[in-house]
Amino acid sequence: MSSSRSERHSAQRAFRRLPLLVIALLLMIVPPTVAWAGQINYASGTNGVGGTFPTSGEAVRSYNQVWHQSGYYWWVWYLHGSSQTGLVYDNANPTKYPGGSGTIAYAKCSNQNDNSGVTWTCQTTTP
Amino acid sequence: MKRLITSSSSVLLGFSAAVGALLAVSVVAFADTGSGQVTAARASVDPTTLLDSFQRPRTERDALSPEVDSELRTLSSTAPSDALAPGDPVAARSRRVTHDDGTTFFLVPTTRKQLCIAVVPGGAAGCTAGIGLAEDGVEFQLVDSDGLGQGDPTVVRGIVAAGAAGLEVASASGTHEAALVEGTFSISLSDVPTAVVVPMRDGSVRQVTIPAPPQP
Repeated sequence: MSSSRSERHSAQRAFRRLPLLVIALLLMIVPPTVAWAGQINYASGTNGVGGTFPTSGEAVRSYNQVWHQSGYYWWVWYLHGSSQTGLVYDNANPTKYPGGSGTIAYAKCSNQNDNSGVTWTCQTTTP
Repeated sequence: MKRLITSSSSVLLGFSAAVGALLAVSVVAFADTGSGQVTAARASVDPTTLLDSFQRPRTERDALSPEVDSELRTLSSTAPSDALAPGDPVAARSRRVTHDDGTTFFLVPTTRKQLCIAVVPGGAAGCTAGIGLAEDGVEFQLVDSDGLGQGDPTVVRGIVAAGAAGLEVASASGTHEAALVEGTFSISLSDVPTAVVVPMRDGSVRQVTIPAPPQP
């Protein structure tokens, strides 16, 4: 009888600790996920036709995009050494390459003809 | 006397309205860009009025996939400013167009009279106010995962205005005809595309040059 009561108390204590366990697990899992998917604005401005804008450094990227007034063409791409990957030319908003860079790369965006006067913003991710 | 006053008031009111309308048109036609550069505003058009896929009744097959629905719903909320937010997608008006090679276009109007386009597999969603469609008869994107002229083909895809008789993409190796399906097209090229050409049913031809990409 006493043994059974003791077992029941142990089970209740374990059950009470379950939320703590879940929180601890989340704290271990969530920060790396958030850090991996961290979005940055690497350039922003108005007009500037012909301008090319790079990130300040290289990193493994998850995507590269520019928000801009629709109807005006923009380029986005990754630069690895001297070669381009993830090249997109589009006038839709956002203009986006949805794939990753694979290896470390600069993310770049370039304004082909956007003289709309609307503020544009280039975004990518950083580890 | 009373009639004269009423008549004068009407003339004054009409004159004020005319001046007001002219001022409003001027404000719309020219926007100061804030950098001393004044640019002519380009009129947006409801893109659904220019696309073949919206001239037919919607069917159950036009429903959005859950992935595309989810992606489009987050677009407006992630725009960096309200001016760039395309509006909320109106899923009940979506159209789905599938090509022989399996490329599928989801075309979704928004609450701001824009049209969001998601291409699967592999494409990202983007939205248009129809400016290029109205001016050039075509809006397109070029995608090359490994850079122009490398191993993977260059994909050119987009939408054309109703009234287009076809669509061709020019490159150094010649002119390549793309299949039009309800106003959408997608074509893969092994060399670098230089222009998109749209022959219209009225005999005119519209052409949009694809510029060389910027230096790496």
